[in-house]
Amino acid sequence: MASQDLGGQTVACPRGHENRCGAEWCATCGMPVVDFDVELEDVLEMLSGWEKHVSFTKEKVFIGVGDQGCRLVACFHQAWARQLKASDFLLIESSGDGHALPSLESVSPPGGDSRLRPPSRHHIPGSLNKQVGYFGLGERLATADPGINDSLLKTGIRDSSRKQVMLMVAALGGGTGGGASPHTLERARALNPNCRSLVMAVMPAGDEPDSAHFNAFCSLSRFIKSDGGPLADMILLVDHERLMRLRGVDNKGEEVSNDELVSHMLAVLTGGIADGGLKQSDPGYLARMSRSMGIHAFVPCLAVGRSLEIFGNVTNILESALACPLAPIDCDSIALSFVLVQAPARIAQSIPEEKLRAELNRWNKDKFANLRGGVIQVMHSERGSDRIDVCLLLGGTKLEVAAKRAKDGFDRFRSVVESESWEKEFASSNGAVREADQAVRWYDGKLDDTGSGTEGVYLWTDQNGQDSEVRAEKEPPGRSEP
Amino acid sequence: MSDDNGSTTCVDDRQRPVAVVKNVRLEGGGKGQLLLTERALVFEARRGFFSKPRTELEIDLSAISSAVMDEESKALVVEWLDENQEYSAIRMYLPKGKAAEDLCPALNESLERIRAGEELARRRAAYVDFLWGTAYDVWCVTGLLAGIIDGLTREDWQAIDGLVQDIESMAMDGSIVPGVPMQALSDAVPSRDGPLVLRRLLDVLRGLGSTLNNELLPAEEWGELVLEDLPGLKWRDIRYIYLFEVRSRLLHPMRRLCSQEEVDGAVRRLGKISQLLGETLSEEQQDVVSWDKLDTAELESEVDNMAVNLERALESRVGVA
Repeated sequence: MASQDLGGQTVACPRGHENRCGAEWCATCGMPVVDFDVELEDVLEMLSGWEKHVSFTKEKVFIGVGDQGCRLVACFHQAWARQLKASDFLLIESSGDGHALPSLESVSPPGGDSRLRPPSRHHIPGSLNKQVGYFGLGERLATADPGINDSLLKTGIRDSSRKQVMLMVAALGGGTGGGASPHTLERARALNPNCRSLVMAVMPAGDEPDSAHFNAFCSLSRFIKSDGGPLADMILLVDHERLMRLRGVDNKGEEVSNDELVSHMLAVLTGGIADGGLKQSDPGYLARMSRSMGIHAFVPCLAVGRSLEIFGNVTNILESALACPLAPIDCDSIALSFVLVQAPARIAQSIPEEKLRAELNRWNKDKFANLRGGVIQVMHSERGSDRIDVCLLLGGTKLEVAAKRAKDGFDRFRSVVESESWEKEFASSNGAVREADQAVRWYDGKLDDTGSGTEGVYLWTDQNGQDSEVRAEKEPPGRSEP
Repeated sequence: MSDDNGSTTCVDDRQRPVAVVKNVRLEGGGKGQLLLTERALVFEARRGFFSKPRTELEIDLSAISSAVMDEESKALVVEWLDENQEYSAIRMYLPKGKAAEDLCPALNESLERIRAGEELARRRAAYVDFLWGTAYDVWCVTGLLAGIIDGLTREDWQAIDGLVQDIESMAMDGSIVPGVPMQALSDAVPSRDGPLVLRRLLDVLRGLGSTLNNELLPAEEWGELVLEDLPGLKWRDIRYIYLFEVRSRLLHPMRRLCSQEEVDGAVRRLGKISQLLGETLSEEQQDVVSWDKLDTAELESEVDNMAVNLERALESRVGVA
């Protein structure tokens, strides 16, 4: 474009008139003078500064697998997604799961112009026209589906994200939820080995057929042991029957549905409920600590919207939560306790934080004689009411107790299926079924091994400024992590 | 061709006879005179001595496929395609003499000149088509690339996948200049790594810019035609189209991501490029209007109009409208 004359000192206008370099308009005809090189470089320079606009770092990725898992994540998305920054949502479905989902239209956050993106959806191919039904089939279909990787990548799971947490929700009794979820987690961990994982595993109710319990037990075994070690950092066992019995109220005192309670639990875990909660809540930290201490299965105990005026003190609210564990627990076996408290800021002003923490610590120690570690996270919201939410995550109970119903169903189902039918009907094998049983025994055995010994109590403040407490023979490994 | 007195009247130079041969006998017809003009081979005959010469046959030189002398019969054999594009041939028996001897070389010389002229016109038309075709491809691919940038800023991988597929189709059709690192861009997209894809995309934009900036590129294919000052679109204008398309397509994401000052600056730059393109599309020099005096809203309106006009012009010239 620039006419090389006198050492490149001139530039020609489109009509061929020479102008001094840098001239914007032709001195002869008045036409604009556009230097292509300069103009293009200007565009490219601007675009190279746009890397920050195209780097969508996802600190939290929520994945629903199967009918119920997708429904719960979609429900959570609708209620809390606008509060969560740097998050993404993926629903992995099969065989008409989508019918059960609420509308996934994008919603406008209040006061904001930009619309909230609906969760991404992934259909496992080969399952659209038939029920997946069994763990083995769900796992097989997911394994054969190369598209899962792409869907995970699209949600932002990649190894460049050092502080990434994946929260998976699946009902393990179904073929898709049970079979596809461990495989999906495996793929996600392959994409980002630094990614921490929490799996909310909804276990089938007592009136469901043995095949559902069989699915759930097989799936649980995959999460608890895969390629030599636990696949998930934390598995939150939620018995569907117990979930249905759970009651909670919102900050206006109105009863909330069970799906909303699950949403609430996820919100407490991920800081969605607390204002500016990202710095107050760190599920990745809990996951890291669980893995460090070798405790992976947790039973959540939830108390949502408990009025301090009615309950009198936080201890009573903790008791209320402990009275309704979402899976069977053995308090004597609890070795790791995470206490997540969300309280309105105005209550925090009336109860000094130190006093509150001391109260929570004391309760923790009194309740769980063999406690070896604990984390207390207190988050504040701007709610006007006096209602407090508590989520206890109690780890250390063996799966033979916490997942007893699934184990019994698994045993019954296993005993009636003829060995040659495993492959033909259930896309499984005698060996795989045996491995599932052994994996759960392995985990329970590990709890026995680590349960002995005398420990001390360690208190520390982690990198996020959270006060934590651990009883251990040595300082918690999580503490020294960068 | 002839007046009442039998003398030839030239309407213009192209109709002036280059050669005249009298006493020519037309195969299956009467006698008359054969005239070679710059445009046609004309056979005129008179019914009687006092009658007016009448054109009995006129063959457009551009339609003649062959004109050879049959030395044995002293006949000029002419083959041509008539107005219905049907093959015709005729023999014209020439008298002895210099006029007849000179006719055939003169005729062949005229035919060669016409064919050369026609070939040049064809090449010029093809070059103009080539320029418009290139401009259209550049416009299309730039729009797709800018769409990918917009998709990246919205994290819309589904849209990006579709756009990359379109770009790959264009590459398969040969509509993308070799050497532009398009494959690296296609390879980066499945990683779903926004910054990586953006970097690859910038490489493509830079590569495309370098290619368009290479003046020798069309000359390699079109030789001296590139140096001719043909009216209408020029290679230089394709660069303006490229710049215009990048900048105008980026306005949308810029409004979301950049300050108003930056957007206004981009609109001003677009206004300048629009003005240049306006002259190209109108194919004639226009009075220069001071666009620098327009405010941002007026400029935006002009830019929008230009985007519409450019699209129409490109699509109609390449026949996709």
